[in-house]
Amino acid sequence: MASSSTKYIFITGGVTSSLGKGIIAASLAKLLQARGLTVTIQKFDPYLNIDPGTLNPYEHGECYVTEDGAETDLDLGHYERFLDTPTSQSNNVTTGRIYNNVITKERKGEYLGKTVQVIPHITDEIKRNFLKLGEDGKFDIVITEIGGCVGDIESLPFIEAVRQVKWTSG
Amino acid sequence: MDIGVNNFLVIHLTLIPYLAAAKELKTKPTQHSVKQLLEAGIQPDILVCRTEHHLPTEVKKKLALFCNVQLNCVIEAMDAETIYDVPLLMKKEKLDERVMTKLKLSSRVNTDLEQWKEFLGRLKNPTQEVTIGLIGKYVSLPDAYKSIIEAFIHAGAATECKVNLRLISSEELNEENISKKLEELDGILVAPGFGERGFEGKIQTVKHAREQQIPFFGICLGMQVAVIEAARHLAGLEGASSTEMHPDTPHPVIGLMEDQKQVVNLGGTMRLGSYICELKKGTKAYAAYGKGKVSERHRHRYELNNDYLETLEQAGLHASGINPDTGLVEVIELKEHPWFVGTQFHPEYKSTVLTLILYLYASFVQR
Repeated sequence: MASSSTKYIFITGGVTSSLGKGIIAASLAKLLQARGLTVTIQKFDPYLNIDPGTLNPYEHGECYVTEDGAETDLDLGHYERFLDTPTSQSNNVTTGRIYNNVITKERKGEYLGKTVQVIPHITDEIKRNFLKLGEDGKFDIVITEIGGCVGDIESLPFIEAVRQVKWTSG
Repeated sequence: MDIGVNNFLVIHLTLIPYLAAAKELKTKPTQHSVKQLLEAGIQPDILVCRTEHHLPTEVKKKLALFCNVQLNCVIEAMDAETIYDVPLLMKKEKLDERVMTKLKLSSRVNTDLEQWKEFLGRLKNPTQEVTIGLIGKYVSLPDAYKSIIEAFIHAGAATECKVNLRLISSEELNEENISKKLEELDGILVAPGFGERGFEGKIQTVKHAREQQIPFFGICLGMQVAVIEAARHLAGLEGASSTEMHPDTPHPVIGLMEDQKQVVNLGGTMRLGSYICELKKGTKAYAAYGKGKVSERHRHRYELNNDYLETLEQAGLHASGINPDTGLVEVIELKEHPWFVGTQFHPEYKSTVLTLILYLYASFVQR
């Protein structure tokens, strides 16, 4: 369950990619941190690789490595450089990881006879991951950067999960 | 599982292009992208608008009206001189205040950005200047070396030194052109990487730095190349190499780590994350850190082959940092050189704005 005191900020991007969502997210986090709040930032990337470890640096830039040995998006480097607090595997989730989790659960029989679908199973898994860092009450604010651009086919399940996470009050 | 309306905020980052011919800022692309969000059922609370020109009030009003947001929630984000200016620019635009109000939060303390401002002050008022060459094979996309580039910015601020970083492709370098291509450099960094492309250029780079007594810093593959160069040219081990590039080399001074030999999958299977390294007293690495035990992050499959360590030490290449659990060589240096250090780990990953003592990067820049 999400801790009742944790607040969630989602950052989406429009018009074009490379607008610097990572820098805006890190800057906002810095300002909130400077007001005495505990903040973390996570990035959701809409591609099917489980992590960027196998991506060519020419295509995706540097692969950033966290303390716990996760190979992550370079934006996590900005988060750490601005906030001076470590990130971990939980701070970077890809579509590939979401699908991998869902398919693994399906094989274990966790969906018992149900047809496994993008909605609700993929979106539920995304929502679960959105809220994960806020669960132990360590952070006042969790900022989530949604990679890619609004309107991309790839980011649709992320956007739908952002819509849903606000409602059906808890 | 759901968080409720008062704990939830959406910020939409968008672009306001400027048409030079018409001398106009255009809001239409933003209107369309917000419309797409609305179709998906999401009303953004705050718009952050990237722009090359200040947004006049009429433009902000138009955006507020057509995108369904409050006027004071249209935030201008002008292009900045450095990314480290952005927090202060966002503060000026009151992005944090808007967020606090919308989330019904109150400040615990007065905003404290003193250290950040001090960092910016040092960054923008350097008292000296150095030019450092970054030699790698991905130089056409500087983002491939993001953390290294940022670490030099932090190191520059820490030492009040302007660092001009010159990215040089290792593929273009050979024995004939090396002095020309690397002239006027105050320091040379050989970057991390994988595979054979540009490998011999990196060997030539190390040889040049060693012979010309130019400060040298090798990271990951850069350190391994320094070991191979020393093996070939100082220890006289002809054909010495890494089994990554030359599986049949007569002198595998760099080899696959023992626990990597059974690895089948390539994703997430390298030696990754933080490990302890013990530094020997009296070495440059010890002097840079000012302590004997450090923890840094890794990403590699190959390591210095300890069977050759004694030969290399006799030739003048010293292991100044060792992992206490496995004996893996983490840091190498040359004694007969002003500053020649190679690290198997990546010190750039832990470099942040507030770690004002930046250890190896700062120590390298000061040379």
